[in-house]
Amino acid sequence: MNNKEFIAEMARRMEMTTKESSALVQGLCAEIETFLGDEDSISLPNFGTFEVKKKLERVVVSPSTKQRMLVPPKMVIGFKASANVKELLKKLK
Amino acid sequence: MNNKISLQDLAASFAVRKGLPKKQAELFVRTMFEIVQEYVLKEGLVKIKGLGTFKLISVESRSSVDVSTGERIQIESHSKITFTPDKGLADQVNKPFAGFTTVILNPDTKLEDMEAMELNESLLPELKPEELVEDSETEDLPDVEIEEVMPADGEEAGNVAEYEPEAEDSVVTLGEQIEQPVAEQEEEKDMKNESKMVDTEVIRQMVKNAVNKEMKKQRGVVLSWGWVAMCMLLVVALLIGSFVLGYYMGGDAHRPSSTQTVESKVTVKKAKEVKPVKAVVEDTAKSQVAPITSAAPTELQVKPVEAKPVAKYEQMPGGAYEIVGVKGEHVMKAGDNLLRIARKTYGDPALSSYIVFFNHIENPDLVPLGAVLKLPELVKK
Repeated sequence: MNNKEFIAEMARRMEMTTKESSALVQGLCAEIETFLGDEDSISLPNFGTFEVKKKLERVVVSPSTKQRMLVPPKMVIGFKASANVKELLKKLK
Repeated sequence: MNNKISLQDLAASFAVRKGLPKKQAELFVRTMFEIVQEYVLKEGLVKIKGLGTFKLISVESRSSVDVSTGERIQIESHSKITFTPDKGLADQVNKPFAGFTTVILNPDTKLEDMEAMELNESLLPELKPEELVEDSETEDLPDVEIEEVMPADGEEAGNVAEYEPEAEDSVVTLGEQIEQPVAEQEEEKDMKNESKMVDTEVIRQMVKNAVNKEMKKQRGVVLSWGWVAMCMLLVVALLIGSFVLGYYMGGDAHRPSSTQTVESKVTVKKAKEVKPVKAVVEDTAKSQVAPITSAAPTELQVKPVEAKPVAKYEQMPGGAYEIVGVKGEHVMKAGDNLLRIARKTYGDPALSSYIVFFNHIENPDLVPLGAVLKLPELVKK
């Protein structure tokens, strides 16, 4: 499902035009972005949790050149599916 | 920072941003993630622009060891949902470290050296108090730091380590405490300036005497006690300074603004640094100009402070918290909203009503960009 289909489905369920739903989805994404930008974690019941994790800097060795490189620390977003979604995943098998 | 945001919080914030009714915003958020869940299970992939991609991937079965029993166990193959953020979102989250790139290490660099250096740094705590003093002076706000050091007078001189946390505290609280005195200063600044000139001359003399006396006493002391002596001197000079001030200024000196300002001058003279004084004056000048140039809401914000100079603030009727001071300031940026500011400041979005009340905001849904909000210091009644 790509973005277009998602917007269309969203519009259908919320009974609005695709234009409206597109704008709202964008707004919601921006909202999520600001929260995660503040290092907050967002937990959504029946779906999962988004959280920001800090990855420490580390030294890696390039396999081809054998050079040692220092990779800087970074912040990444982690997503964990909630328990009931995991249940659904099991059933899927 | 590191708050847990629930769906309701997200929806509330979203509703404010888009001007939706809260109910509808909540429904929207719920529906959005329902769709994602449904289709990621059905089709294996959902892409949302601005957020990222949810993907269903299968994990192959592998063998592992049971942590408690040590037995070998087989983990069955299963599926899981992964989320890959869009570039924009990933960059936003990684902003604090955005400037860093991977560097190639010199083959001679040994990591053990780095650890050794860190150790060395931690072995020099005696240097810290002095460093901190300098820091806070260059931050334009000398007076608060002094206040914090004064209570340390009675303590044993050898306890250099104990000065450390206090000085650190002061750096943190500087911004909070300076605002009020500056605002008060505006009114009586002209009148005071003249008398202060005289006062500081006298104080300077006193301080010099005190310093000389102390110097003689301390001369025999071992070198490593130098920092302790410095701290003690500072405190002694301060005490004398405030006594003299109290004498000359009479009842007026009990007001926090005048005491603090002159105190700051004393240390400044002592440390042979003129900068902070200028900074204080500049600050004052700035805040004098501000109400004139900025829009109406800013003028309103300044009023409660000016009208009640003796740390008395208008209280929220029926509120569970008491407004006891100004905690800090916030400049409104695009995408800011009061709920989030309140959450960040107090850890509770519900306290945004105090910000609204304290700043006399007429329409909380419409705060102009660039407006400077004063954040009240709240104490539970």
